[in-house]
Amino acid sequence: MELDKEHWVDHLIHDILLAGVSISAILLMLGLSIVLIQGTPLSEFALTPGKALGQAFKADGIGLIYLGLLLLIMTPVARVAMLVYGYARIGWWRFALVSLLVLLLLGAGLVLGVQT
Amino acid sequence: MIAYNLPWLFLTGTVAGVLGAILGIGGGVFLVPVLVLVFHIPMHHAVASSIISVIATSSAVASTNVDKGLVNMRLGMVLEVATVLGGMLGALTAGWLSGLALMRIFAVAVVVVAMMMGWKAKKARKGNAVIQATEGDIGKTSVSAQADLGLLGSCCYDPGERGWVIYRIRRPLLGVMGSLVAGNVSGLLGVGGGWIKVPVINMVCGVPMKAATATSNFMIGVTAASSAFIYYGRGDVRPVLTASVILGVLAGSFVGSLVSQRLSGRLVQTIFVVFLLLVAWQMFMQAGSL
Repeated sequence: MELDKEHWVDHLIHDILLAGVSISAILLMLGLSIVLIQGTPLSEFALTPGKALGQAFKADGIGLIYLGLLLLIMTPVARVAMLVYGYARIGWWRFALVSLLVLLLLGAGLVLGVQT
Repeated sequence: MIAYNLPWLFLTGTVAGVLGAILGIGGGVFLVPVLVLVFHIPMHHAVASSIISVIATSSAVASTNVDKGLVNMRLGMVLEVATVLGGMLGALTAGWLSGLALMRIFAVAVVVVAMMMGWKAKKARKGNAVIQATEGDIGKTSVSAQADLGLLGSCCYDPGERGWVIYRIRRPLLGVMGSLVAGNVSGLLGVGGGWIKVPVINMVCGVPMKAATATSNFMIGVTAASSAFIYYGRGDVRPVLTASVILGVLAGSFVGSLVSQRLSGRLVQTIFVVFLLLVAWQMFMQAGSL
Protein backbone atom coordinates (compact mmCIF):
# COMPACT_ATOMS: atom_id res chain seq x y z
CA MET A 1 0.00 0.00 0.00
CA GLU A 2 1.68 3.23 -1.13
CA LEU A 3 0.73 5.62 1.67
CA ASP A 4 2.58 8.52 0.06
CA LYS A 5 -0.26 8.73 -2.48
CA GLU A 6 -2.75 9.02 0.38
CA HIS A 7 -1.03 12.19 1.69
CA TRP A 8 -2.48 14.16 -1.21
CA VAL A 9 -5.98 12.86 -0.37
CA ASP A 10 -5.40 13.76 3.34
CA HIS A 11 -4.72 17.40 2.42
CA LEU A 12 -7.76 17.52 0.12
CA ILE A 13 -10.04 16.30 2.91
CA HIS A 14 -8.47 18.68 5.45
CA ASP A 15 -9.25 21.63 3.16
CA ILE A 16 -12.86 20.63 2.48
CA LEU A 17 -13.67 20.02 6.16
CA LEU A 18 -12.11 23.31 7.28
CA ALA A 19 -13.88 25.26 4.53
CA GLY A 20 -17.27 23.73 5.36
CA VAL A 21 -17.03 24.41 9.10
CA SER A 22 -15.67 27.96 8.63
CA ILE A 23 -18.28 29.08 6.08
CA SER A 24 -21.20 27.61 8.04
CA ALA A 25 -19.91 29.20 11.28
CA ILE A 26 -19.80 32.61 9.55
CA LEU A 27 -23.36 32.18 8.26
CA LEU A 28 -24.58 31.11 11.71
CA MET A 29 -22.95 34.13 13.37
CA LEU A 30 -24.35 36.49 10.73
CA GLY A 31 -27.82 35.01 10.98
CA LEU A 32 -27.88 35.06 14.77
CA SER A 33 -26.61 38.66 14.83
CA ILE A 34 -29.37 39.77 12.42
CA VAL A 35 -31.98 37.99 14.53
CA LEU A 36 -30.74 39.75 17.68
CA ILE A 37 -30.40 43.21 16.05
CA GLN A 38 -33.79 43.06 14.34
CA GLY A 39 -35.35 41.85 17.58
CA THR A 40 -37.06 38.85 15.98
CA PRO A 41 -39.01 36.97 18.67
CA LEU A 42 -36.69 34.25 19.91
CA SER A 43 -39.29 31.58 19.54
CA GLU A 44 -39.31 28.29 17.77
CA PHE A 45 -40.48 27.97 14.21
CA ALA A 46 -39.35 25.83 11.33
CA LEU A 47 -38.88 26.48 7.63
CA THR A 48 -38.68 24.00 4.80
CA PRO A 49 -35.21 23.94 3.20
CA GLY A 50 -36.62 25.58 0.05
CA LYS A 51 -38.19 28.48 1.96
CA ALA A 52 -35.04 28.85 4.09
CA LEU A 53 -32.82 29.26 1.03
CA GLY A 54 -35.19 31.87 -0.40
CA GLN A 55 -35.15 33.85 2.84
CA ALA A 56 -31.37 33.54 3.16
CA PHE A 57 -30.90 35.43 -0.10
CA LYS A 58 -33.04 38.22 1.32
CA ALA A 59 -30.54 38.49 4.21
CA ASP A 60 -33.16 37.23 6.65
CA GLY A 61 -31.56 36.13 9.93
CA ILE A 62 -33.47 32.86 10.29
CA GLY A 63 -32.93 32.06 6.60
CA LEU A 64 -29.16 32.58 7.00
CA ILE A 65 -29.11 30.30 10.05
CA TYR A 66 -30.95 27.59 8.13
CA LEU A 67 -28.51 27.98 5.24
CA GLY A 68 -25.55 27.71 7.63
CA LEU A 69 -27.01 24.56 9.22
CA LEU A 70 -27.66 23.03 5.79
CA LEU A 71 -24.08 23.77 4.75
CA LEU A 72 -22.77 22.19 7.95
CA ILE A 73 -24.81 19.02 7.35
CA MET A 74 -23.51 18.92 3.77
CA THR A 75 -19.85 19.22 4.86
CA PRO A 76 -19.38 15.48 5.61
CA VAL A 77 -21.24 14.72 2.36
CA ALA A 78 -18.82 16.95 0.44
CA ARG A 79 -15.97 15.14 2.23
CA VAL A 80 -17.23 11.77 0.96
CA ALA A 81 -17.62 13.15 -2.58
CA MET A 82 -14.03 14.40 -2.44
CA LEU A 83 -12.88 10.95 -1.35
CA VAL A 84 -14.56 9.41 -4.42
CA TYR A 85 -12.65 11.88 -6.58
CA GLY A 86 -9.41 11.59 -4.60
CA TYR A 87 -9.24 7.80 -4.56
CA ALA A 88 -10.18 7.63 -8.26
CA ARG A 89 -7.46 10.15 -9.07
CA ILE A 90 -4.72 8.08 -7.37
CA GLY A 91 -6.07 4.86 -8.88
CA TRP A 92 -7.47 3.23 -5.71
CA TRP A 93 -10.66 2.15 -7.43
CA ARG A 94 -11.91 -0.20 -4.69
CA PHE A 95 -11.99 2.66 -2.17
CA ALA A 96 -13.46 5.05 -4.73
CA LEU A 97 -16.34 2.58 -5.16
CA VAL A 98 -16.80 2.15 -1.39
CA SER A 99 -16.87 5.96 -1.02
CA LEU A 100 -19.40 6.16 -3.87
CA LEU A 101 -21.60 3.64 -2.05
CA VAL A 102 -21.50 5.80 1.11
CA LEU A 103 -22.35 8.86 -1.01
CA LEU A 104 -25.35 7.07 -2.54
CA LEU A 105 -26.57 6.04 0.93
CA LEU A 106 -26.27 9.65 2.11
CA GLY A 107 -28.23 10.68 -0.98
CA ALA A 108 -30.96 8.26 0.05
CA GLY A 109 -30.99 9.90 3.47
CA LEU A 110 -31.34 13.32 1.83
CA VAL A 111 -34.29 12.09 -0.26
CA LEU A 112 -35.90 10.61 2.85
CA GLY A 113 -35.47 13.93 4.62
CA VAL A 114 -37.04 15.86 1.75
CA GLN A 115 -39.97 13.43 1.58
CA THR A 116 -40.45 13.66 5.35
CA MET B 1 -43.72 29.20 21.80
CA ILE B 2 -40.45 29.01 23.68
CA ALA B 3 -38.02 31.93 24.24
CA TYR B 4 -34.38 30.85 24.40
CA ASN B 5 -31.70 32.09 26.77
CA LEU B 6 -28.95 32.47 24.19
CA PRO B 7 -25.92 33.14 26.44
CA TRP B 8 -26.65 30.03 28.53
CA LEU B 9 -27.19 27.94 25.40
CA PHE B 10 -23.85 29.19 24.02
CA LEU B 11 -22.18 28.32 27.33
CA THR B 12 -23.72 24.83 27.26
CA GLY B 13 -22.34 24.32 23.76
CA THR B 14 -18.94 25.58 24.91
CA VAL B 15 -18.80 23.07 27.78
CA ALA B 16 -19.79 20.29 25.35
CA GLY B 17 -17.03 21.39 22.98
CA VAL B 18 -14.41 21.49 25.75
CA LEU B 19 -15.44 18.02 27.00
CA GLY B 20 -15.38 16.74 23.44
CA ALA B 21 -11.84 18.00 22.86
CA ILE B 22 -10.51 16.66 26.17
CA LEU B 23 -12.34 13.32 26.27
CA GLY B 24 -12.50 12.66 22.53
CA ILE B 25 -16.31 12.48 22.41
CA GLY B 26 -18.86 14.28 20.20
CA GLY B 27 -20.50 16.04 23.12
CA GLY B 28 -24.05 14.84 22.42
CA VAL B 29 -24.17 12.72 25.56
CA PHE B 30 -23.72 15.94 27.58
CA LEU B 31 -25.80 18.23 25.34
CA VAL B 32 -29.04 16.24 25.09
CA PRO B 33 -29.68 15.82 28.84
CA VAL B 34 -28.77 19.43 29.62
CA LEU B 35 -31.08 20.76 26.89
CA VAL B 36 -33.92 18.51 28.13
CA LEU B 37 -33.47 18.71 31.91
CA VAL B 38 -32.22 22.31 32.33
CA PHE B 39 -33.70 24.19 29.36
CA HIS B 40 -36.85 21.99 29.10
CA ILE B 41 -36.41 21.59 25.35
CA PRO B 42 -38.61 18.78 23.95
CA MET B 43 -36.57 15.60 23.46
CA HIS B 44 -36.87 15.48 19.62
CA HIS B 45 -35.66 19.09 19.26
CA ALA B 46 -32.77 18.47 21.68
CA VAL B 47 -31.72 15.37 19.72
CA ALA B 48 -31.91 17.27 16.41
CA SER B 49 -29.73 20.13 17.74
CA SER B 50 -27.27 17.69 19.22
CA ILE B 51 -26.86 15.64 16.03
CA ILE B 52 -25.92 18.75 14.05
CA SER B 53 -23.54 19.87 16.81
CA VAL B 54 -21.82 16.49 16.53
CA ILE B 55 -21.19 17.23 12.83
CA ALA B 56 -19.54 20.52 13.82
CA THR B 57 -17.25 18.89 16.41
CA SER B 58 -16.34 16.00 14.15
CA SER B 59 -15.55 18.14 11.10
CA ALA B 60 -13.48 20.66 13.09
CA VAL B 61 -11.37 18.04 14.90
CA ALA B 62 -11.10 15.63 11.96
CA SER B 63 -9.67 18.32 9.69
CA THR B 64 -6.64 18.50 12.00
CA ASN B 65 -6.30 14.75 12.53
CA VAL B 66 -6.48 14.03 8.80
CA ASP B 67 -3.72 16.53 8.11
CA LYS B 68 -1.54 14.83 10.75
CA GLY B 69 -2.08 11.45 9.05
CA LEU B 70 -3.74 9.94 12.15
CA VAL B 71 -6.98 8.92 10.45
CA ASN B 72 -7.26 5.56 8.69
CA MET B 73 -9.63 6.83 5.99
CA ARG B 74 -9.77 3.51 4.13
CA LEU B 75 -11.02 1.67 7.20
CA GLY B 76 -13.29 4.60 8.06
CA MET B 77 -15.01 4.52 4.66
CA VAL B 78 -15.63 0.76 4.83
CA LEU B 79 -17.18 1.08 8.31
CA GLU B 80 -19.16 4.15 7.24
CA VAL B 81 -21.31 2.02 4.93
CA ALA B 82 -22.69 0.38 8.06
CA THR B 83 -22.90 3.48 10.26
CA VAL B 84 -24.77 5.47 7.61
CA LEU B 85 -27.36 2.70 7.27
CA GLY B 86 -27.62 2.46 11.04
CA GLY B 87 -27.94 6.24 11.40
CA MET B 88 -30.83 6.45 8.95
CA LEU B 89 -32.63 3.56 10.65
CA GLY B 90 -32.14 5.22 14.04
CA ALA B 91 -33.51 8.58 12.88
CA LEU B 92 -36.54 6.95 11.26
CA THR B 93 -37.22 4.94 14.43
CA ALA B 94 -36.98 8.06 16.59
CA GLY B 95 -39.87 9.55 14.61
CA TRP B 96 -42.12 6.71 15.73
CA LEU B 97 -41.14 6.86 19.40
CA SER B 98 -42.51 9.28 21.98
CA GLY B 99 -40.25 11.76 23.77
CA LEU B 100 -40.79 9.74 26.92
CA ALA B 101 -39.56 6.51 25.34
CA LEU B 102 -36.53 8.29 23.89
CA MET B 103 -35.74 9.72 27.31
CA ARG B 104 -35.79 6.24 28.88
CA ILE B 105 -33.57 4.79 26.15
CA PHE B 106 -31.19 7.73 26.54
CA ALA B 107 -30.97 7.19 30.31
CA VAL B 108 -29.94 3.55 29.77
CA ALA B 109 -27.40 4.60 27.14
CA VAL B 110 -25.91 7.16 29.54
CA VAL B 111 -25.31 4.45 32.17
CA VAL B 112 -23.54 2.34 29.51
CA VAL B 113 -21.39 5.34 28.53
CA ALA B 114 -20.45 5.90 32.17
CA MET B 115 -19.34 2.26 32.39
CA MET B 116 -17.41 2.50 29.09
CA MET B 117 -15.54 5.56 30.38
CA GLY B 118 -13.95 3.30 32.96
CA TRP B 119 -12.67 1.03 30.20
CA LYS B 120 -8.95 1.29 29.61
CA ALA B 121 -7.67 1.48 26.06
CA LYS B 122 -5.69 -1.43 24.69
CA LYS B 123 -2.10 -0.67 23.80
CA ALA B 124 -0.58 -1.95 20.55
CA ARG B 125 -1.60 -5.55 20.08
CA LYS B 126 0.99 -8.33 20.10
CA GLY B 127 0.49 -8.85 16.37
CA ASN B 128 1.32 -5.22 15.54
CA ALA B 129 4.91 -4.35 14.67
CA VAL B 130 6.58 -1.43 16.41
CA ILE B 131 9.51 0.45 14.92
CA GLN B 132 11.40 2.28 17.65
CA ALA B 133 12.13 5.73 16.25
CA THR B 134 11.04 9.29 16.99
CA GLU B 135 8.37 10.88 14.84
CA GLY B 136 10.93 13.22 13.31
CA ASP B 137 13.54 10.56 12.49
CA ILE B 138 11.43 8.53 10.08
CA GLY B 139 8.33 9.39 8.07
CA LYS B 140 5.02 7.52 7.66
CA THR B 141 5.79 6.55 4.06
CA SER B 142 9.11 4.95 4.99
CA VAL B 143 7.52 3.09 7.91
CA SER B 144 4.66 1.75 5.81
CA ALA B 145 7.07 0.48 3.17
CA GLN B 146 8.67 -1.83 5.75
CA ALA B 147 5.61 -4.05 6.29
CA ASP B 148 2.65 -5.61 4.53
CA LEU B 149 -0.32 -3.55 5.68
CA GLY B 150 -2.99 -5.43 3.79
CA LEU B 151 -5.84 -3.52 2.18
CA LEU B 152 -6.96 -1.59 5.27
CA GLY B 153 -3.88 -1.42 7.51
CA SER B 154 -1.76 1.62 8.25
CA CYS B 155 0.73 3.00 10.75
CA CYS B 156 0.80 5.79 13.30
CA TYR B 157 3.26 7.27 15.75
CA ASP B 158 2.44 6.27 19.35
CA PRO B 159 4.23 8.25 22.09
CA GLY B 160 3.32 5.53 24.60
CA GLU B 161 5.22 2.94 22.55
CA ARG B 162 7.93 5.49 21.68
CA GLY B 163 7.79 4.42 18.08
CA TRP B 164 5.72 3.81 15.00
CA VAL B 165 3.04 1.14 15.32
CA ILE B 166 2.28 -0.75 12.13
CA TYR B 167 -1.07 -2.52 12.21
CA ARG B 168 -3.21 -4.73 10.02
CA ILE B 169 -6.98 -4.77 10.46
CA ARG B 170 -8.46 -7.82 12.18
CA ARG B 171 -12.07 -9.06 12.22
CA PRO B 172 -13.41 -6.45 9.75
CA LEU B 173 -16.89 -8.06 9.64
CA LEU B 174 -17.32 -7.70 13.41
CA GLY B 175 -16.15 -4.12 13.05
CA VAL B 176 -18.86 -3.51 10.44
CA MET B 177 -21.54 -4.98 12.74
CA GLY B 178 -20.38 -2.83 15.65
CA SER B 179 -20.48 0.23 13.39
CA LEU B 180 -24.08 -0.57 12.40
CA VAL B 181 -25.07 -0.56 16.08
CA ALA B 182 -23.13 2.66 16.71
CA GLY B 183 -24.86 4.34 13.76
CA ASN B 184 -28.27 3.24 14.98
CA VAL B 185 -27.67 4.62 18.49
CA SER B 186 -26.36 7.85 16.99
CA GLY B 187 -29.42 8.40 14.81
CA LEU B 188 -31.82 7.49 17.61
CA LEU B 189 -30.33 9.55 20.44
CA GLY B 190 -28.50 12.42 18.73
CA VAL B 191 -25.06 11.38 19.94
CA GLY B 192 -21.90 10.75 17.94
CA GLY B 193 -21.58 7.10 18.94
CA GLY B 194 -17.82 7.38 19.43
CA TRP B 195 -18.13 5.57 22.76
CA ILE B 196 -19.13 2.47 20.79
CA LYS B 197 -16.93 3.01 17.74
CA VAL B 198 -13.64 3.61 19.55
CA PRO B 199 -13.76 0.29 21.51
CA VAL B 200 -14.86 -1.55 18.34
CA ILE B 201 -12.04 -0.10 16.23
CA ASN B 202 -9.45 -0.52 19.02
CA MET B 203 -10.35 -3.89 20.60
CA VAL B 204 -12.06 -5.71 17.72
CA CYS B 205 -10.12 -4.40 14.71
CA GLY B 206 -6.76 -4.04 16.50
CA VAL B 207 -6.13 -0.37 15.71
CA PRO B 208 -3.90 1.53 18.20
CA MET B 209 -5.84 3.90 20.46
CA LYS B 210 -4.69 7.20 18.96
CA ALA B 211 -5.60 6.13 15.43
CA ALA B 212 -8.83 4.52 16.69
CA THR B 213 -9.99 7.78 18.32
CA ALA B 214 -9.03 9.84 15.26
CA THR B 215 -10.75 7.41 12.86
CA SER B 216 -13.89 7.29 15.01
CA ASN B 217 -14.03 11.08 15.17
CA PHE B 218 -13.62 11.20 11.38
CA MET B 219 -16.57 8.84 10.95
CA ILE B 220 -19.09 10.38 13.35
CA GLY B 221 -19.63 13.43 11.11
CA VAL B 222 -20.95 11.27 8.27
CA THR B 223 -22.95 9.11 10.69
CA ALA B 224 -24.60 12.21 12.12
CA ALA B 225 -25.23 13.70 8.65
CA SER B 226 -27.15 10.57 7.57
CA SER B 227 -29.73 11.12 10.32
CA ALA B 228 -29.53 14.95 10.38
CA PHE B 229 -31.23 15.11 6.94
CA ILE B 230 -34.22 13.27 8.38
CA TYR B 231 -34.47 15.46 11.49
CA TYR B 232 -34.06 18.61 9.33
CA GLY B 233 -36.77 17.47 6.90
CA ARG B 234 -39.12 16.56 9.75
CA GLY B 235 -38.90 20.13 11.11
CA ASP B 236 -37.26 19.05 14.40
CA VAL B 237 -34.38 21.54 14.02
CA ARG B 238 -34.96 24.82 15.86
CA PRO B 239 -32.67 27.36 14.15
CA VAL B 240 -31.86 29.84 16.91
CA LEU B 241 -31.40 27.12 19.54
CA THR B 242 -29.15 25.02 17.27
CA ALA B 243 -27.07 27.96 16.03
CA SER B 244 -26.33 29.14 19.58
CA VAL B 245 -25.28 25.68 20.70
CA ILE B 246 -23.11 25.01 17.62
CA LEU B 247 -21.22 28.30 17.91
CA GLY B 248 -20.56 27.42 21.55
CA VAL B 249 -19.38 23.92 20.58
CA LEU B 250 -16.93 25.31 18.03
CA ALA B 251 -15.56 27.81 20.55
CA GLY B 252 -15.33 25.09 23.20
CA SER B 253 -13.49 22.69 20.85
CA PHE B 254 -10.88 25.37 20.24
CA VAL B 255 -10.46 26.14 23.96
CA GLY B 256 -10.47 22.44 24.84
CA SER B 257 -7.70 21.63 22.39
CA LEU B 258 -5.57 24.35 24.05
CA VAL B 259 -6.14 23.24 27.67
CA SER B 260 -6.23 19.47 27.10
CA GLN B 261 -2.45 19.26 27.35
CA ARG B 262 -2.49 20.80 30.84
CA LEU B 263 -5.44 18.95 32.34
CA SER B 264 -5.42 15.43 33.73
CA GLY B 265 -7.65 13.50 31.31
CA ARG B 266 -8.32 10.93 34.02
CA LEU B 267 -9.61 13.58 36.47
CA VAL B 268 -11.94 15.08 33.86
CA GLN B 269 -13.13 11.60 32.95
CA THR B 270 -13.95 10.81 36.61
CA ILE B 271 -15.94 14.04 37.04
CA PHE B 272 -17.77 13.31 33.80
CA VAL B 273 -18.69 9.78 34.90
CA VAL B 274 -20.25 11.16 38.11
CA PHE B 275 -22.13 13.75 36.02
CA LEU B 276 -23.42 11.04 33.66
CA LEU B 277 -24.73 8.89 36.52
CA LEU B 278 -26.58 11.91 37.99
CA VAL B 279 -28.04 12.65 34.55
CA ALA B 280 -29.21 9.06 34.12
CA TRP B 281 -30.94 9.18 37.51
CA GLN B 282 -32.62 12.53 36.68
CA MET B 283 -33.81 11.27 33.28
CA PHE B 284 -35.23 8.10 34.79
CA MET B 285 -37.02 10.19 37.45
CA GLN B 286 -38.39 12.63 34.87
CA ALA B 287 -39.49 9.86 32.49
CA GLY B 288 -41.17 8.06 35.37
CA SER B 289 -43.08 11.11 36.58
CA LEU B 290 -44.51 12.06 33.12
